[in-house]
Amino acid sequence: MNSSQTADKQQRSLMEPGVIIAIVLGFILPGAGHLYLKKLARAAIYFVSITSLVIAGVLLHGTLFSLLRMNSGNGFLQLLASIGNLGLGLGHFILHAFNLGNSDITIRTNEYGTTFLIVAALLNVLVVLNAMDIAVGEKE
Amino acid sequence: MSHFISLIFISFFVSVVFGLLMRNEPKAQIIYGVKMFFGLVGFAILAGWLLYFLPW
Repeated sequence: MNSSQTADKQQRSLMEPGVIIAIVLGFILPGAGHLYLKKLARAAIYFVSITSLVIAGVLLHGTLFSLLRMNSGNGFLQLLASIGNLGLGLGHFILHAFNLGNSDITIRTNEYGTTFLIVAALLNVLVVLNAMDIAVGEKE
Repeated sequence: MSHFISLIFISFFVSVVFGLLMRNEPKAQIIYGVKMFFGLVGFAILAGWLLYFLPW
């Protein structure tokens, strides 16, 4: 089997419903993709870890950079932060809907909270990619 | 939440997630996670001390 055939097979398997469902669920709720793939322990740990970081980020008055807010168009770095925060998936829009993560930057813990939120979002992207690899069969 | 507790908090959860992501065997996951945790905390403290000597 040559490389083009391998790539073609990989592409086909990425389009299978099970893989797409795992990815979508991962972006709806942290760890849900792994739950769908019957990796219960990992799903629980991912959920607790990422959710804890998000809750801590909100409690520390972090800023959720969002493309839906005016504060995201002010600079290239803020644009990158906004794209990164999209990794939270549905959680991003829930926080936005409840006006959470729209804190004053003069609050002392704002930088920490903002970091917590971005790290949680980026970790969720890695977790979703891991769920995709498991669904495809590249990882166990 | 103090600076140090914040550091411990984020380092712990990042280490847990990376440990699970980067290794497959449970023992290897724990070792990787512990190494990463102490690496993150140790480097942050070291960087803090180095920055302390900067005059500006």
